[in-house]
Amino acid sequence: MVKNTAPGSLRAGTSIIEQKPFQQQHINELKELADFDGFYTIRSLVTAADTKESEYFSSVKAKAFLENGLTDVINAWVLPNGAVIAVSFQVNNSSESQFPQSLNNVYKIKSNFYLRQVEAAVTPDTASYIQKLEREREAREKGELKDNRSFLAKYWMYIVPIAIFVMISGATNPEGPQPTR
Amino acid sequence: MCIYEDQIGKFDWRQTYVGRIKFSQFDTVSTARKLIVATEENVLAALHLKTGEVVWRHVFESASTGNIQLLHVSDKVVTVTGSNPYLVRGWDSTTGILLWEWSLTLQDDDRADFSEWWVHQGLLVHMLPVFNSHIEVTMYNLLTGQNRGSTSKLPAAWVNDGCVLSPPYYSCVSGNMGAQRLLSIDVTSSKVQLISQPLFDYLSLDVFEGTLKPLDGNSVLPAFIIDDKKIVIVKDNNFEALNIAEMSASVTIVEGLNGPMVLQAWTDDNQGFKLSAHSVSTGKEVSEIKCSDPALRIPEPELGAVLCTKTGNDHACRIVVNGADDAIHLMQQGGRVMWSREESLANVVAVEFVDLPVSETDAAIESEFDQKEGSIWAGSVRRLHSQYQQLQTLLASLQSDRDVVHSSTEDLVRDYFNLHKIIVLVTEVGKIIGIDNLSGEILWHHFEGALDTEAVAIFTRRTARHPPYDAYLSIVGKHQESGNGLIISLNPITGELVGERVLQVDGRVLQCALLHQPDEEKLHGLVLLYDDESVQVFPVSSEHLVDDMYLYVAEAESAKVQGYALKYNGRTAIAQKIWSLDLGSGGHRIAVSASRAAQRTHSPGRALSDRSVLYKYNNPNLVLFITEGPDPVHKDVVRAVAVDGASGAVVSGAVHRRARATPLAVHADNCIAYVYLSDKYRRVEIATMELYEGKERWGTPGAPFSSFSSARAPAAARQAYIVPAAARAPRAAALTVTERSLTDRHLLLALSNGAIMEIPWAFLDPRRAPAGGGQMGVGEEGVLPYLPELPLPAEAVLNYNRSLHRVRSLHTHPAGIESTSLVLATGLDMYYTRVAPSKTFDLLKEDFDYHLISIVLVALVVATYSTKYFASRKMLKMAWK
Repeated sequence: MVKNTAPGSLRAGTSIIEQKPFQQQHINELKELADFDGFYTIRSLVTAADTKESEYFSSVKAKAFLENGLTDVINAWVLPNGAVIAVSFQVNNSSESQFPQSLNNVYKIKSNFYLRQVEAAVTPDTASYIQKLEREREAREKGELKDNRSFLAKYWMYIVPIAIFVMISGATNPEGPQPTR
Repeated sequence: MCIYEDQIGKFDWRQTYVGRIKFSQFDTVSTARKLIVATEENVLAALHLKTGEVVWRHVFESASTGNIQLLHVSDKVVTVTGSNPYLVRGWDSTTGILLWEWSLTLQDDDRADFSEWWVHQGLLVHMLPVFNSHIEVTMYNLLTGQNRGSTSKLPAAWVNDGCVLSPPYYSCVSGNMGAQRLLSIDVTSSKVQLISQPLFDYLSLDVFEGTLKPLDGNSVLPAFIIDDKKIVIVKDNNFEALNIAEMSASVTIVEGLNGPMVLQAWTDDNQGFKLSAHSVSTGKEVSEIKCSDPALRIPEPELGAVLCTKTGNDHACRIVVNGADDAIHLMQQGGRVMWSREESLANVVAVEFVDLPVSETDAAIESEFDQKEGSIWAGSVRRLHSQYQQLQTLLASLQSDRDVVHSSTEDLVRDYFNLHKIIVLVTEVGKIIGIDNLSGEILWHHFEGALDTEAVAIFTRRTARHPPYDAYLSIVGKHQESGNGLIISLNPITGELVGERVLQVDGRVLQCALLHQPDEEKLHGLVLLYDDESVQVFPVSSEHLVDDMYLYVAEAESAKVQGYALKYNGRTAIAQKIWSLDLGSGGHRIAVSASRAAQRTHSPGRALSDRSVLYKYNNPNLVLFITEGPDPVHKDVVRAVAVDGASGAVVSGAVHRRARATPLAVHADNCIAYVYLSDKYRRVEIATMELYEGKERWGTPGAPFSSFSSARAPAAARQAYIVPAAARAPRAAALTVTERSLTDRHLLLALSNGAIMEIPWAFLDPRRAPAGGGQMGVGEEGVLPYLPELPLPAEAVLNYNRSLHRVRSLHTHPAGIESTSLVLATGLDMYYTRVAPSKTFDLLKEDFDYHLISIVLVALVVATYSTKYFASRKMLKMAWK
């Protein structure tokens, strides 16, 4: 089965995708495939300026494709140098999608086409680590930062519990310790 | 991580190997007699004559600079190593200490490979034949390298590439067909003396090839073999043919009591290993040196060093025999094997840990619980019966003498913690060896010479968990000659061939896998995908179980990856190609692929500090491909691409610029780590990656993952770390595995300095970020602030001071207890140990004082009752007052 998707130029910011809609006959064929849990395969041809045409296959389960109302996602993975490594075809697993209504015996397919860049990998980040060490060293050289806060502001967390403790012990025996015989 | 001194050797062992023997000689000078060997693995070693243990060992470079060209043992051990320039070294034979060394560079580099070396009257002789022209002979002082004279050129237009050296004679068959002559020249003598005889004096003309073969071992007389038929000795400048050659036997000439003897060893298909000796002068058989042992199977035996001494009126010989299976045997004159070394274990290519079966009584108890049907009476009868059996075994064990050594198969039962296993190893020569993991002892071996182990795979098709069926293991490799698939099926506990036994299939195997569903006999079918995309299932009866099965085939050189869906269509299993990728654009090749380890995932996510959960991307079909290749801008680049192995969808990818790949990649759960060489900074780096679905779950909790229903790409956390230069290049990597993945995950790195490092995954966590950077993972529980260099403290060395040479791979396997993971390192040495990444939280300490706690308990009980008694007495007394 053939699916005609023609994305325009990849490098241009916008791309126009033309897609031929499905006929009833295609739907019937899909249903037949789905009956024995078959695969619906797309074959992508990628042409680049310098290399020859290369071919990629990717498949979805026909059943899942029908269930998701002919909505699909096509991901093309592109390397930083512009070469394509994979064109993968997957169903969009959205629960609300309904089977498209036929319009003059024509079913419209909803495809999402994504161009994914293989990113440059992370390298060990020595620069920021050295900066951090520098900052720490500078801080140490400058010495401890002057703490200008008042005595109470600095040590309130010790004073308050002691005060509370004193208050509580004062409240339990207000007369103070009784002299023993 | 560390162990105490008294724990050394308690649960770890190291076995040192030297590799296939290339040269061997007895050290007869020093008091402790040794066998000095030089091997194909570029190892020089001394083996103890009584036990076969390594006394000392030197491991040279694995490249051609370490190739051993000559081994000469006199009062010192002399070696010539390398390939232009050569290094001549002298070693002390007792200690193995280097005594002297000098180097030698040949002018003519192209022909240096044809060089021949030997030691003649204390001088090192180097001979270089120039075909159809002359022979160049140079002699050097062995100790200093001083040249005695200039290079002498002996005219010899008859020299060709079929010549053999039997020092000091260099012999050739030369001349036109039908008029061939046998020529020989003593290259060390000052005057040129050529011995020339027509070849048909020695061979009948009708069967005629004229191929010369030197003798094996260290022959005492210059001799060679023509066409595997005639042994010809060069004696008093004349040829002398002997009429005693056995076809396909390994021949050497040794010094006997009454002059030199011809010693021959071969393996007869019916009669097993055979050994014979004949006197050179009389041609009579020497009666005491004889062996015909049908039980002893040495494939294609090759004689090494032979030493015969006089005891009374008889010969006492020590004979080194080297088999095609790389095993070395030291024999006595009567054929008794004193010791054997399985040197094939220096080249292990595949490893599998196999569970042992439960003991008979345990099996009886298990079967008792299996039987659910039946009345109460039947159940109680069974109960009583099994208890009676237990009582019987208890009594039997009390009665039997404690010193009685159990036969090894009886001992091979599963222990309580399932720590005892059998390790099945496939070696490069095609020898399959079963090892007891606790003792390191070889339990069984099976040699399959036809097995090409280039891309061998082991499958445990049935574990020992299913009595009455035995465990079943299949090894899939290639046939050496035809290149077709070769399946070897055996019982890993006993080493006996079972099922398909040794089966050569009619086709080249692209990929092989096990079926997910076992058949009625609990046997998992073996699926083979041939290069014509047809599918075969072993056994055929489980063909209908092929369902929802996906295989991928990756071509390493072109980096093309293809995916197949396998299905049973009612008649037969078929494969359909459903996806293809081209990871190799720009001339890349796959350096390594790491599919996700088949193990449990303990938790589906990670709890964050804000009480939300970061859900893991749990794709069991994920495969990581690391490719390397040239790039027009960045010289060399390494690409890491994570691909769904079932649907072929690319999940994540990264490109390292100016880097080269290493074949070290690990992949478990949602964690990926791989080692690469950064060309820019000239250092080794390790990149890590973790895949997450995000803070919301994609699917419903508990639902199985389906590769065909998700189109979303996970988020990847990435980080890279520097492996410190002090540690040098890592050679192997593995992640620890535990039964339920509850325990922490540690990365094991085998370094080229001989250490195995245990690094907690927390240090490699890709979510580590510089403090204050505001990135993901900062300030979260269990996530450390970022450090670019990986800490490799000395206490993280798993193998303490037992350095391992040339580690090739690390293998991990879960034990029965959750805390413990079993580790095996293979390479030139083999090292086994066990690690507990989160400490042994489910075990009592080894030094746990059982006596103290029981004494305390008893004392407490006694104290309770005694105080009760005293208290009642006191109460009584009080009442009387």
